[in-house]
Amino acid sequence: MRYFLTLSLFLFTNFLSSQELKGSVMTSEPNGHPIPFAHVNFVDLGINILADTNGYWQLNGVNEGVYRIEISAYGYGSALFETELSNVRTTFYLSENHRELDKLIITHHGVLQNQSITAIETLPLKSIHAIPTATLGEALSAIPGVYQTGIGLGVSKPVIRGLSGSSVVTYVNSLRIENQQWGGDHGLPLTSLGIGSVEVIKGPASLLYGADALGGVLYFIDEPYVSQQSRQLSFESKFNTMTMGTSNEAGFKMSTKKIRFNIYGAYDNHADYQLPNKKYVLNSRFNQSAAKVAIGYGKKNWIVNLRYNFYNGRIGLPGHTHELDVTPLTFQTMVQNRGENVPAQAITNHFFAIEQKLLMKRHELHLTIGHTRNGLKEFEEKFFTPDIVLQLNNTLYNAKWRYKFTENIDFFLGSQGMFQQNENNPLAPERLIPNANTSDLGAYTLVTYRKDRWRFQVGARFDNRTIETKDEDFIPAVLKQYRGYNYSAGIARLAKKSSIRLNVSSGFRAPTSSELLSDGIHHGAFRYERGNVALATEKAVQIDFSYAFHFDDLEIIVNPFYNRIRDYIYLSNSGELVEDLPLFEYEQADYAQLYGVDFGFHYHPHEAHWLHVESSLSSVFAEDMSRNPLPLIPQTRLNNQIRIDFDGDRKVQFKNIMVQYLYFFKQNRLGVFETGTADYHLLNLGATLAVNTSKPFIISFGVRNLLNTTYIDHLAGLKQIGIPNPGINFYLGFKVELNHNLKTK
Amino acid sequence: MKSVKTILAIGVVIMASACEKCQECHYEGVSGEVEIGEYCGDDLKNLEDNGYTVGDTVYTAHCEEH
Repeated sequence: MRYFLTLSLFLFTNFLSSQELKGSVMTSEPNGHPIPFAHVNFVDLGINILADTNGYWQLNGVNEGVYRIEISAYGYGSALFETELSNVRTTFYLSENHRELDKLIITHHGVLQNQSITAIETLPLKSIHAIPTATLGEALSAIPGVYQTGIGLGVSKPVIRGLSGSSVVTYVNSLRIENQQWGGDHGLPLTSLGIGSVEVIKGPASLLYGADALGGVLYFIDEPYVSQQSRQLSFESKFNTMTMGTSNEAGFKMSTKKIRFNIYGAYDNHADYQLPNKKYVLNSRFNQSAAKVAIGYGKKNWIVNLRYNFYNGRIGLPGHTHELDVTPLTFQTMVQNRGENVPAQAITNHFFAIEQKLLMKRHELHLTIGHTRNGLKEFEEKFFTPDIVLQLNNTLYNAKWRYKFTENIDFFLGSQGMFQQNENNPLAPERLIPNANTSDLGAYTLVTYRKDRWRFQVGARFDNRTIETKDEDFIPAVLKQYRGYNYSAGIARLAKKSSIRLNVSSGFRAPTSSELLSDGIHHGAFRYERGNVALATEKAVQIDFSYAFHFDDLEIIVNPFYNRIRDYIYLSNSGELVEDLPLFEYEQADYAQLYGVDFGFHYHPHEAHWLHVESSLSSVFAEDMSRNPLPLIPQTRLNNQIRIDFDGDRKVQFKNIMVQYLYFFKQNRLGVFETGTADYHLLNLGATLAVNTSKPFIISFGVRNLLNTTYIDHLAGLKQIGIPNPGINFYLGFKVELNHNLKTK
Repeated sequence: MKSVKTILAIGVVIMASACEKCQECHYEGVSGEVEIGEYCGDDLKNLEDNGYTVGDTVYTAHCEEH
């Protein structure tokens, strides 16, 4: 109680000094002049304001304190300042923008990506969506080290450095998302609606993100609110020929001085996808609707955000037949259809979170409390009666305290926990996994230290997971407890011309209830799965090294890694058949090792500011303790793209043209019962143009798989029935944003 | 006002008619696949739940598109 009163008094005193913060934005030349309409983004507060014509800005009703402020303006570079603000006028200086190579990117921890100790990849969604894709999962696979697996287009699962499913953890704005991700046919549970950027942490990252993050973490961050005292209405529509698919979304954003909110809605509808031979993959159709609301409120040094995400989708599962003589042609038709069919999945998600942040001079407190509800119905042969009905409820919290010990030392203390209930509907005729309650509790501490060009980081974490099932007719009751002790240590030297990072991090993943106890047909994955109650936790340690050269117009990065997983859990084809399907059993190897390299290159010549040449190579190798290759490891991928930007203010003005060439090397390092995959080339082309009228809008068009290449990706779920990936695909889209400034009193 | 009512009425008719699910169905007979025609709504649900009866034999009906 005494501690509580002390803390309360301490917090209360921090509420007392509400101020009017003000300042200006100037050019950094000796005789600098004001920069009109600069964006002043208070990163910690989530508040954007716009400077006036004289570069002057003002923010009322917040406390004095140390804030991270991102300043940007058209034609000038952007910069992040961490500075103490008071009622004394503060001036920020920006230099003219010569290039876009080192674009300012701030991670969700509020640090610059290029100043981060760990190799974290932060990308605005519009940059990876430059040549649009049908799904978010496909867009993410443009990131080095990230791939996708899944079934057709409707089910897309991210793969990070060779691991996927339960080994990849997904966060949406500090809320961990659970969606039966153990299943090969259970895809990413969200669309790109309202997502501003995505961060990818590659390799074990249990320290900050909890159990399971052995492969890595996908951290989605919502679009920011609009500038204070303004509103925006936006519409976006896309069409593609491959699925005759449409994606339509609308958004409304508004910010007043105290309240700000974003509201979105979207609907996508895709028919069966077209193959290079002009036929269609029967039942590869899907439709999905999504909605999102974010409401933000701030007073003095307290910020609260309420967030709600809704998703509803019906996803066809191709590859079903009653014929005895089955060939790839069995699953292809001459007629494209989009009506409801079976087998199919119907998914409904509700994600709700309350994020709170309290900012003080040397302290930051973050607390997120959330609840996610994932409903999954699997229809096998009947339209009205689903065979499997699973309801996953997850209640969780995420708390973090940051203490700025000195100018150079930051101390973090955090805790995360969740209580998860996974229940089968008793009326459903089948159950693949039993009802289970899972509870997680973890705590961590982390210290970072900065000295000149050097950065150091060290942290430790403890986790406890309990899985409990009740006695059911086919499976006895189980009560299992798993503990994880993890650490992370990193060192970086960040100089102007080069940066070196070395990180060692560990992670653990407790077996899921499906790995322990499943016993049934998994229709979406075309197999009978049997769990193994004797499985122990997987423990991983990764060494990640990166070296980057930064020249004025050239950047090169080399990022090798080595990830060793003890007690590696894998699905093994037993070679037997159960109910006419191959029997896959969960087994455990003493260890497995995954290693490889990500290589990146970006050239943006001074003489040609309009030109960007980018290239990346991602390669991963995986083997067990006997050096036998592991199955389902991605092909080595080479991704090259050239973008030409155009400046101008014609009525119809090309903004950019982009050519992308992808080469996937053949995969001949194969697991048991696995077949090889041939190499293939893909060529994509895209362009964007702006129509500058009183209501300007953007038109994008282009083509994916321009050469109509017939290929089957090594990770494609339809590979085992010989169904290729999509053929040539033309797309057309438009986007309009209507901005309006609110009157100020 | 009249046009609003007309639009609403058309909307209701479209929504009501769009809800009725219809499928062509068949069963696997002794000598192969036997088409049994189109079933809609409750009839389709009954067929899925209870099967298709020929004499004393109840066959599982398959109504998926193929």
